[in-house]
Amino acid sequence: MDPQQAQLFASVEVEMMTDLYDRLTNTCFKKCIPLRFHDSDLTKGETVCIDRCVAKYMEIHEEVGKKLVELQQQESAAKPS
Amino acid sequence: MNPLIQQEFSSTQQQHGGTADQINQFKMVMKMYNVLTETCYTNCVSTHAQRKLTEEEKRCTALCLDKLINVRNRTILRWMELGPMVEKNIMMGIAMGNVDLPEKFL
Repeated sequence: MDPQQAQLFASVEVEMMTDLYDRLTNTCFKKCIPLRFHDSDLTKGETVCIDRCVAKYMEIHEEVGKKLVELQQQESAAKPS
Repeated sequence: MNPLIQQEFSSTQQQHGGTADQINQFKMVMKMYNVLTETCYTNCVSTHAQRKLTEEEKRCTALCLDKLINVRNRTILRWMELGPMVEKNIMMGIAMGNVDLPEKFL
């Protein structure tokens, strides 16, 4: 395993994680926070919603990852060389 | 490590080491991964009654993934057909009065 290459991949992984975090935050904001609010503190309901939102999002992230791995394996099996 | 990242890494290992191209392709796959997750989450999950995904949501996610992949394949197909160069040539041809649009685009 070439260490320089491994580092490149690690930095791409970090970039992906940052992107994931951004999308997660925006999505959960849209799902859990009503359009009009009067107070910057989170209500109990919003807090619980966000906890669950993050848990579900990461579960879906895992499922999507598995499916993509499966698809790529199929694609590389189908290629002649 | 995330299984998709692991697989991408080992597959590029097999192809004479990583080049800038492969890193870019890796980035594209990762971006697609995040977009898929976001889209399917937004589409499928509306209740937050519990922490785990319900059966309905899992089913919806599986469908959503297949759907998105079909959409992507179809889009690529049409994009290749109507690709930028072809469009530009058609536009130029029309401007010069040399080309008639195929009937299906009228």
